[in-house]
Amino acid sequence: MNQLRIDHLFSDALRAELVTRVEKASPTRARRRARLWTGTAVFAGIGVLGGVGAAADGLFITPGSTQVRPLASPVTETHTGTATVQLGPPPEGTTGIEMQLKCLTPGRFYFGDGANSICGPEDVGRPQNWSGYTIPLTLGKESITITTSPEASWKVTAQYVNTKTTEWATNPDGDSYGAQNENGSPDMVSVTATNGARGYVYRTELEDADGTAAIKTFKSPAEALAWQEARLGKDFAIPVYDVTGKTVVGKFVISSGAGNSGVSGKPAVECAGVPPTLAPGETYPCPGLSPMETGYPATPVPSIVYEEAVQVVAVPYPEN
Amino acid sequence: MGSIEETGDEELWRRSLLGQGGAFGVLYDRHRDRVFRHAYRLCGNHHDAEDIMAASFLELWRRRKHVRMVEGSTLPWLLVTTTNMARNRARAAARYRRLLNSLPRSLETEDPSADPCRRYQNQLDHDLAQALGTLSVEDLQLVSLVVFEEHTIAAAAAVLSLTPAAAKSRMHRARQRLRTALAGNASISPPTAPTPVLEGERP
Repeated sequence: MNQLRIDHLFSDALRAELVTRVEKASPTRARRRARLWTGTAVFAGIGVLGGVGAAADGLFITPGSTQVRPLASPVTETHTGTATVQLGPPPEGTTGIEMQLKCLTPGRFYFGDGANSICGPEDVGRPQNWSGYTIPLTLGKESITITTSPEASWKVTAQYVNTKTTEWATNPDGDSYGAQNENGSPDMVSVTATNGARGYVYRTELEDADGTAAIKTFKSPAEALAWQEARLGKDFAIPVYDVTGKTVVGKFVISSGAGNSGVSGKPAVECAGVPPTLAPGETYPCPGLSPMETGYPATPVPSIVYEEAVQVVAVPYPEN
Repeated sequence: MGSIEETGDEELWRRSLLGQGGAFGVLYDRHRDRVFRHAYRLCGNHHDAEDIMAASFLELWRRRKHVRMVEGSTLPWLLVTTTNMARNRARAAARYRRLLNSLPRSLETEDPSADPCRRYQNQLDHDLAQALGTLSVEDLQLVSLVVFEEHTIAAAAAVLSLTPAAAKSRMHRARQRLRTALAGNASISPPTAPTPVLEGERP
């Protein structure tokens, strides 16, 4: 077999592809994607699961959603190379440090616990040049350190925050309703219908439609893949009710084609680009953002993607 | 710390999981040739072997949560995956078909049948591939690891989730079957040759 050699062109291209795939999957990137995806990608362009706490003015807070309250003014600093940003003593009620890193030059930026963010030349100056990250507060921690190569420039905005998941509410029929969160799903799950109306879908109907129910019956990945294949490209619509659970206000469509790659989805309009800097008392406008940000399990968006989705939503986070 | 090329598989794997593409690249460089040779052995076709090799590495990453290190190496897992890929070529490659087709290849127009030596070699490769094709999956996995890649039976058993004893007896039967298939005549070497089992008293 002495003529047996791999085509070097092929091999080099494959190697480059593998390296890219690995780099794309770095923990922080996975987080960022998962966050956007949580809100929209599976249901891309069709409807959005609720949990939106667009409640700065107290208009509407979805029960069960996570509220992130900044407790102090954000500290913004720009550095080149490795540096530590001092935040001062944490105010009463702090549960974590929320930070957004913006890269000003290409480079790789480590958040101190192994998570890192890579900025390529194509990212600099573009909307995708930021990474959001929240670390739980540990006693005595009053600073954050970003580690990077000496020539890499970055800008970080960090602040102490309090995150709190509100309770689900109960309607007169005794059904709980609200946003999906780390506790699971209430009986009626908050969604935005295709017509823009806010309402609720029954968890049982949602699970039947999105495959959560079916996934529980699978005995092998092959079974799951076959099931997934059969559904590919099909849409499943379920009714959206008002809070009483009796009046239909719209429909919610789950498309099995959407989000199939499990990699990225179109972020909701309000989530696109650099998030607004929040003033104390304000909350995030993006569904699913907060739970992911605080390091809880991602809002359990029921997923139709058997393997890939687990990788993204669960955000495997290698220990150091 | 030595250079990355000297770093062990386990460390490279850990770094890969942290998103360090370079570490994965080194793993690729390290195992590429053996994976390719193994794929070639199983399919007897250069082009297919490249596809199978590529698919195996792509699988290594895609199924990263399930990868098992054996004796500090990713190679056994890769070889098992390669075997599966080779046995199920059409389906395995389908997942990566578009990517594989998009990768550039040298325009090698040499006709293998023009060179008699090469043709003979191809025939041999083809025969071996066919003989290997007669084995069950489990047996093929074992033979691949133990015979071709010179792993110990214990290591092969570990990656295949077999007990060493089961692996040993399976291995024995697989050798017999392979011999038969290569000879092409079952009457010359019966598939059930007497197994050398010592039946005497234990010391």
